[in-house]
This record gives sequence, structure tokens and C-alpha cells, in this order.
Amino acid sequence: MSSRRSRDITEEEINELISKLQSLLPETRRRGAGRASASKLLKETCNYIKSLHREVDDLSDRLSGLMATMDTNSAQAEIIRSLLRS
Amino acid sequence: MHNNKCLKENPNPNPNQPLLAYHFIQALTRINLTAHTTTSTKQRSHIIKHAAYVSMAFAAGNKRTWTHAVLLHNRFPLKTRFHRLSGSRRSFIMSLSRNKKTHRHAHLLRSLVPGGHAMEFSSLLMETANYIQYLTAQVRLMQCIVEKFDMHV
Repeated sequence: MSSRRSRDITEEEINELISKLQSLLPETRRRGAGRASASKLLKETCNYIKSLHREVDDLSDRLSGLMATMDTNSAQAEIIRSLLRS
Repeated sequence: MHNNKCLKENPNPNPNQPLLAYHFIQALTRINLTAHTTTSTKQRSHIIKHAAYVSMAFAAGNKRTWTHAVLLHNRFPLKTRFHRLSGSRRSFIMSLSRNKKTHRHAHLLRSLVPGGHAMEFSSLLMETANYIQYLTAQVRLMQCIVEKFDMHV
């Protein structure tokens, strides 16, 4: 890496943050051993976030459909109880 | 019971899972009470999606730029929009990521993370990490809820 400037953010800190990001991506998206290049990792991150957004969209659709048909109070109470029990 | 597993599988301690569940379910209950027979499934889906991001940001707390962007400025993931970078910011980013591909991907990342355009590159990476943690937790939560609805219906 070329010259390091005297400011708060160094190249090394950026690389650390990039490694941390890489550890958050799911296993299947990590290619090969060792660290991927920064640009590849950013691309993987973008794709992962986009897929998460799509999942939220899809799950919202399904929830919406299910809420239309379900019997309200009893189901919700049961769901809340079981989810908060963990 | 197997339903607890989907919450415990989250390896990261950071997102507070019960808090996430609490806010989202509260929102769902409200939606169910208010938007009943008049709203279409598609409209309700949009409302639910909105509630998901708001409750997620709520649970994440206000120490994050992305939660501010969601709660205060109503920045939600919509179809990708590209914003033009201002001159000074562009040169700063270029100085950090010298090759063009990185710059392009960083720009794309900024449009994906709420409030991403206002951050410095290192902050963007930290915010992205946090945002991904909460997004995955929210997705898992919604999957759990859908599973349970499926069982009861």
C-alpha cells in the first residue's frame, strides 16, 4: 500500500473492517481461503444485502396473505408467547 | 420446541432478538387491527415491509446512522436509485479506493444501506456490518412468524 496519511482512518483499519464484513457474509458466498480483494468483497456484500431485501419483500407478501386468513387473537397470542419464550 | 431453534441459531450476540420480535409483533398486531378488510393484500404487504424496517431500526437503537435514515428520513430499500456524488466526497472516496471497481461497488453499497451517502468510507463499512446483522435477524424472525402462521392456519 502506498503512503499512509496522517488522519484517523488508515488502510489497515479499512482492511480490518473489510475482514469483519467478510465474516458476516454467509459461508456459501465466501470463495476460497484467505481474504478476498476489497472490491470482490464489496460486490458480495452488495449482492447479499440485495438478496436480504428481496427476502424481506417476499416474507412481507407471505405474511400479508396469511394475515388475511388467520384467526386473529388466539394465533397471535400463541406466536408472541413462543417467540418471546426463547 | 423447534421454533426456539430458529432464534437461537443466530450466532451473533449483537441484535437483541426478543426486542426485535417485540417491536415487530407489536406492529403486526396494530396492522391487523387497523388495516382489515379494506386494504388489499399488496397494500398490507407494503405496510408490513415498512413496519419490518422501522421495528428493526427501533431495536437497533439510535446510535447508528442507518437507523436515523430509516426512522427520521424515511429511507427504505426501494428499487435501486443512484445518487450523484458531490465533488469533495468523490475525491475523498477515490483517495481511499484507488481502483475504479472498488469505487463503483462502494457507491452501490451506499445506495443499499440507508443513509449510506452521508458516511465516510470506514463508517460505511461499520454501518454495513451492523445493518447486515439486523437484516439477517429480521429475516429470521419473519421466517419464524410465517412458519408459525402456517401451522395455525
